Amino acid sequence: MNRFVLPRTARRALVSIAGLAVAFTAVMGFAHTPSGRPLLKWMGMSMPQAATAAGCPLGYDVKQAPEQKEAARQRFADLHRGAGPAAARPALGFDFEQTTRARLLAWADQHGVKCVTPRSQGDLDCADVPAALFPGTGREAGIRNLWVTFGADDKLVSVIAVSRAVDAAPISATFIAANASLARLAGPATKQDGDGSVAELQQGLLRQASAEYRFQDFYALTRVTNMGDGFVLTEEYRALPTVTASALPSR
Amino acid sequence: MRNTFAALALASTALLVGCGDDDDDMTPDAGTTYNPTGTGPGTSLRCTSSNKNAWDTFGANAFVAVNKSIVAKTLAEVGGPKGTTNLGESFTHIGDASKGPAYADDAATFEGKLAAFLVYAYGGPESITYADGKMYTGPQNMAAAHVGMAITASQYDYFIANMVVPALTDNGVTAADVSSCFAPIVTDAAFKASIVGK
Repeated sequence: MNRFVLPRTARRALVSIAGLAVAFTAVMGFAHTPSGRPLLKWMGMSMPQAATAAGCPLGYDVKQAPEQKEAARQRFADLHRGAGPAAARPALGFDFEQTTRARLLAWADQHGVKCVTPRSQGDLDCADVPAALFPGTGREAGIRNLWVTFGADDKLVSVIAVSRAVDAAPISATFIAANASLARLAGPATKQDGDGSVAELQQGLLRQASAEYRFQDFYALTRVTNMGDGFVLTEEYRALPTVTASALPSR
Repeated sequence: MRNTFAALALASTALLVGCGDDDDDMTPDAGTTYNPTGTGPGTSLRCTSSNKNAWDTFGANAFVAVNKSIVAKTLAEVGGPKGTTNLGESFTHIGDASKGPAYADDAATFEGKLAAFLVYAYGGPESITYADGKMYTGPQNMAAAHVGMAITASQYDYFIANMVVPALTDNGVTAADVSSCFAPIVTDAAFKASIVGK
């Protein structure tokens, strides 16, 4: 059998390529460690999204740019917008397009609620918000996670609250109160499945009730579920971007 | 059309598995001639509407529709204004092996594996041929499949309550059937523990 021998220049080229590959892998690996973050940030200068987050240059853990967030908000509105405007746009006592991040953080700080900025996309994640912070709303269940999003002008555009309790009663009461409040303040539900009573929820695992509210400028969804080891309520309140008259759904 | 093909593929596989499964203990339900198709954990569950398990009640068409609906709702969620707020980042890393071995599957493989798992778990055959023409195996190690994802209990609850259950009801599964022949698997503490916090 003939032995295949590479010319010296080809061997050098191969060794150089292999060396570069190993060095590149080592540098990238180090850059993704906590100590290597400054290096990663420097490398990301040519990728603005990554550079702002000092994260992975591929952008997987990068916050959406304001224009990306606005585009996603617009897409959602296009799919979920109703015909007429809401009488009001309730959002757990916060004011859409008025409440700023600083004001919400001050409110949280004042009441001992801890909020963190998630690593990507969501703007604030506030944990364990007591029901007592929402007086007069009929809320009996505290909020386990309050997810808040702000628009490009740093003003509130959406609030999502997830509440959980072992017993059905406080979750059911909160679901019913939230829907009564929405119907009274914004207008009637566009779609409702189930009443969310304790009796209904206790009929079986994953038994669910929900209500959806679609308006021209506001969207809300409430959904309560029997998870087997507890009961979960999701409330979503969302300000929809304004729309030109020609883009409104025809009636 | 693609759904129809997928449904046919699933149905064909189910028939083949059913014909070749002579060794399984296929004892009919007492007082009936009902022989469940599969051997997965949900085989013994009975839907209120039919007194059969979910696979034998709803069949391939419904399983394909529900699977596609779960995937569509999840992609719409993480690609929409909510982003990864509620579901976490795990779904955004699908196909990115650099984030860990659990993310190595591309989106199509993830969808096929999810379909195979659901079919098997709810009383269908152990393997299926999905819409992409590939064969996927139902019995899967859930803990291994979720290693490194750090899925929280809140994210799991949100996924089940806001993606899975609406996918079922949107496709015509009644609340009573969701409770009787789908819920016991995904609300099982051991099953949840195999996914959360890995």
